[in-house]
Amino acid sequence: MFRSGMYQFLPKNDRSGRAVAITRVSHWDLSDYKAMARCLWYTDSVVEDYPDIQQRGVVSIADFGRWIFPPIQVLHFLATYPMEATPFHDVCNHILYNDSALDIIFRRLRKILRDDNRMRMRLHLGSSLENEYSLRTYGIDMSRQLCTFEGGESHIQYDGIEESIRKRQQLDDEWNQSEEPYRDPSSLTALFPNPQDIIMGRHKLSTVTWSGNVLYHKVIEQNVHRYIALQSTTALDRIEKTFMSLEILHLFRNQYKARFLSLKERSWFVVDDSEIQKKISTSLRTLARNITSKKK
Amino acid sequence: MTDNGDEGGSGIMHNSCFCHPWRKTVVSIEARDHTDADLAADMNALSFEQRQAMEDDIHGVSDIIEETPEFVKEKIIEMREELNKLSSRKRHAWDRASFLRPSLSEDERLYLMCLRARRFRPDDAASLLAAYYGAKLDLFGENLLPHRITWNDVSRTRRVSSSMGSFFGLELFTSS
Repeated sequence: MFRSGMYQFLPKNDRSGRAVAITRVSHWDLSDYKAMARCLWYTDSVVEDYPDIQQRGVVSIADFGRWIFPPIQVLHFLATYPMEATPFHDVCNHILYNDSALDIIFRRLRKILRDDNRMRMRLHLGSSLENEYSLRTYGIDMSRQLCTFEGGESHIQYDGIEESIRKRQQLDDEWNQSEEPYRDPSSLTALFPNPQDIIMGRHKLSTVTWSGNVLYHKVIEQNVHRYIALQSTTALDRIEKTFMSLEILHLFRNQYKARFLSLKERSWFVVDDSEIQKKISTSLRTLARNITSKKK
Repeated sequence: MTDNGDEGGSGIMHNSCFCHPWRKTVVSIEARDHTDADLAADMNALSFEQRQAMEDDIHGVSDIIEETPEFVKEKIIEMREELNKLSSRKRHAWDRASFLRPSLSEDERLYLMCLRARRFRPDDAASLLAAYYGAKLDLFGENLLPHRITWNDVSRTRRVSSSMGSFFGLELFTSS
């Protein structure tokens, strides 16, 4: 999807330092609208790395070409992707199209916007030639970008896209490297839990859906019948139960590389073994009690 | 009603500054066409530089907001207050993200990005932050919520959906 140039920040800003984003709507693949929405969100989030673009804003160009989506796909997409979540100042919008039906729709839209002068002045509608001229007056020379308008539609230079993907991957790699120490499962403190880590304690926000906690409850469920089978009457059984909770603890630590984390004063700390063992025993005991009381 | 209190009548606003035509209101619909004609005539009378300055003004270049440390600090405080005023349903994803990564709620760069995007209106910026994280949670799931989304994450989520057999294959994503 990215490589088709469906949504792209162009390599050069305009002379006022505003970024130029072009979306080629005719290249959108709405059959998988969620993946499409992910690509759009990811491209928008690029702005997080560029304070100057945040300050100056983005000039948006939407090239609709000749294509009209089936309405149901558009509705699905709009339900998935919240347009209000765009994290930058949308300075102005240029909408290109080369289709009489789209012309009717957009001219109607412009009439609706008639009362909003500000919006009207910031929205440019028309053919690629009209928009190319309009963009030029705002300091954006498309011939210097990796995108050109020829034959009524936009053309992207794919080398430029590959280059921007490479740059983005490089930034991602740098970020990954900087985060690596915090992901280390042997570390005793953490900035955030890894997906396999178990969040302990009671919190305002439920931890039931957290992947590590889901895994933990599954493991407890798998072992609870073995736990029920042990009678607590003999000392041997009690020792067996203690071994069982230790076994589960080691399973998480060695096989899943998971930590049991607790939030204290806005930081995550690894809980000590005795407390973890107590938690596992409690979980097994509670579940066992629920199962046996249901049977009765 | 025009700024000077005209109601009905000609309704034409002789605006001395065409840089911000939206800052004054023209009421009568029949007068609007005249206004457009006036606007066009006045624009034609401008020199290229003047016109360029006006266009820059319209397109937000001249309204870059000066960000003094005091101003930024004050707006961030206001934004935090606005964030707390949002319903828990609206800010669910943000609450979740800042719970998983407590340092996020101290990340002034994030607040500043939202403030800049909404021209330093704290209430709009708070809504944007909530919506931005809401979309992130919906699209990428809880595990990625406290992290930066990388190129690999986008590809991976695509691969997962492809492997479920409900969508297009990976080839389409990488080769298209």
